[in-house]
Amino acid sequence: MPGDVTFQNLLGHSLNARDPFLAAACHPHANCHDRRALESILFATSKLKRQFAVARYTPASILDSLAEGRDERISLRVAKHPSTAPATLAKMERTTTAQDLCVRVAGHRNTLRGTLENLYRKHPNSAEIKRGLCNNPHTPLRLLRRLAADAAPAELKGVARNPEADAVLLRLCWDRGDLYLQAEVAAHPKCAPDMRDLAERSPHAIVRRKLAQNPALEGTVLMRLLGDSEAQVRATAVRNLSKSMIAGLDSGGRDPSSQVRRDQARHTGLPQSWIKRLATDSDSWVRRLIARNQTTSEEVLYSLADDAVMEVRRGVARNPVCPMELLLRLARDPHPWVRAGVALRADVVEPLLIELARDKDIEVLSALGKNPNAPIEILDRVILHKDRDVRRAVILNENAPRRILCGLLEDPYPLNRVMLAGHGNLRDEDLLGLMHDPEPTVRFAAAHALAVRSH
Amino acid sequence: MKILVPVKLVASIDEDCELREDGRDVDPDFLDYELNEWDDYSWEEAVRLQEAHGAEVEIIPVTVGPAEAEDGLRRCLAKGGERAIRVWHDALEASDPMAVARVIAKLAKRENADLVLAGTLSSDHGFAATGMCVASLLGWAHAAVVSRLDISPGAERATVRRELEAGLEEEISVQCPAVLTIQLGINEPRYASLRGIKQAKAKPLEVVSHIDLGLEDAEVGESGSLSRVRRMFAPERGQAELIEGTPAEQAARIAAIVKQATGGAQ
Repeated sequence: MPGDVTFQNLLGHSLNARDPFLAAACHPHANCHDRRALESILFATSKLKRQFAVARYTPASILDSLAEGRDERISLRVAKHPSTAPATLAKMERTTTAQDLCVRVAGHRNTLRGTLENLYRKHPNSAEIKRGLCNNPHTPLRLLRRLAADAAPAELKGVARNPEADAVLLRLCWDRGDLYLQAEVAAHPKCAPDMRDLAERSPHAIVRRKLAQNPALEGTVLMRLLGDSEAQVRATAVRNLSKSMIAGLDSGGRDPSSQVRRDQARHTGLPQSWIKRLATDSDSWVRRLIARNQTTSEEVLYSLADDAVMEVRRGVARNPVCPMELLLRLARDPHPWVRAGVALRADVVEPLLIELARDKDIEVLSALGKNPNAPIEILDRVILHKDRDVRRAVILNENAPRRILCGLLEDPYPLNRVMLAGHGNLRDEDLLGLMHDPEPTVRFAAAHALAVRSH
Repeated sequence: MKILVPVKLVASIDEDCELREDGRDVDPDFLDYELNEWDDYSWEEAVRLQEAHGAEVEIIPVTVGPAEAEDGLRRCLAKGGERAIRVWHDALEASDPMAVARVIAKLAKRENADLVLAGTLSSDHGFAATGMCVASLLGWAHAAVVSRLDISPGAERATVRRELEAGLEEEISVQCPAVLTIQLGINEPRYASLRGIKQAKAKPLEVVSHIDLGLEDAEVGESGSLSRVRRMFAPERGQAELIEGTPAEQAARIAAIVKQATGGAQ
């Protein structure tokens, strides 16, 4: 392809090559006329149509064209595809009477409310369609109310989870439901205060746990749930606490359940008294979470850096507030996973990175490859490593310069070349080379990157 | 030492595939082809032997299949070897492992092969029979499910390790020439370099028919097979349970199933 890469010469190349994967990358950016020409390549065989209807990378524009084909087997796959656009789903609803297809459209997360209302109007007695509508987060409140009037308990569970449901509808669900349905109601942000009271007094832990998860719950209720007899309820309440609420607590770090203490250790803004207590917890997961916690003081980090459990020391190495002096120590840790934690840090001084580059361990070398501040001499060595995952680390490094990346253009591992095609530091000419790759997904990724750049 | 490595492209299918109208196979529209995983390992083992012994060892990938099957041979040649052989004729359609083995055995004789390294089984039909049938037809020694191979050019015997039940392995000495079926994990197959892929396109690939090898039509295809597919179908899944309800309800049901299965308290 001579000269600068414009979309028109990319399109011309794709049409001349008659390569379906290049055509697929161009399709979303092409005008109607060019799309028809690309589709003669894309849909040349029924096998290709089926492949594109299910491939995760297929753009919405191709799915839309596939849906126009009126092939019910293909349409069913399109209706299942997560990238199918609302307009395509609406078109399917308008043009089909096939029950299977309508069920898929009713349950698709991209189907908009107008389409969902049409589906109910045309199929008021279809249990499967109604179930899809109950579970669809775009189903409007008005329709949810109608559906709830004669819904089976299983369908009501979808209604109770639906973000469109209001307090009146949730009350109806509560009154007609088993404890699982009541638990869903308790977790809903629009659950009315009197129902929250009922949930708080429920003898079933699952109802109280779901209540503790409610993002609209008042602080006073959360505080009471922190004293619940069931650990799972207390742990959920801890997770739901805001930073200011947790700072106001004075008895943290003493819960008999390690599950609760782990959730406490995850919070930032913990009082130092808690942190000191949790840093000596018998549960190593609690300690590793404290080691990673940005609120943890330097003094505590120094003590955790001597922990017998390797993951705790790794947590210290990954903590953004870990002082450089301590990082120097951890860079010589006997366990490579800890050293790799240091090698990942962008704030580490260059001499330390060079010292770490003498390491033979693949975790350490991968971490260096990913490090945005790794000197070019290190990256030069990492791209020659025999392990494909180590080499891929450099592709994941946004700062990797083009000269280094070019050394990976012929990487034997196809996934590495697919990912490389998405790197912003490659030039158009590099991507043009990848468009001749023997692996179809590499060609698609390269053409896709060029098509996006040319727009 | 000449090593013949039978390989095949196997079909991988989606769960929502459809069957052909005659109900004896999957609709070709739903088939995607890839090199049989076991054959990837047997070819890698052959390539390693050649790398270890240089010109003393010749390795040849062979396949019984139509023109599309050449893709599998080229994939092998991209990693090593200088030539490949494909055997095909319309009469070979619907051949079972025994009929395919007749072709490979004839080819092994024509090539004066010293060793045949086949995959233990193919992931599509899973007969695990072709390699053993070849050994039987040639009257050669054989060993199945080989997880380690030690052989030198000109040696009268090879030492192999075989996987057994309960995590056991046995080490046996096998008289050469021999047919060995290779198990997954015997090595780590390499990825072909782009240069290798380009070079493979220019390597010679001989196409012969079963007639060229001295076989009659009656010895291959459906008529030469000892078994035939009567029908293919998806059985009723009586044991399956679709777990419905809220996430908490589903979790409770799964916990109950696990408890039941492990004999825990109800």
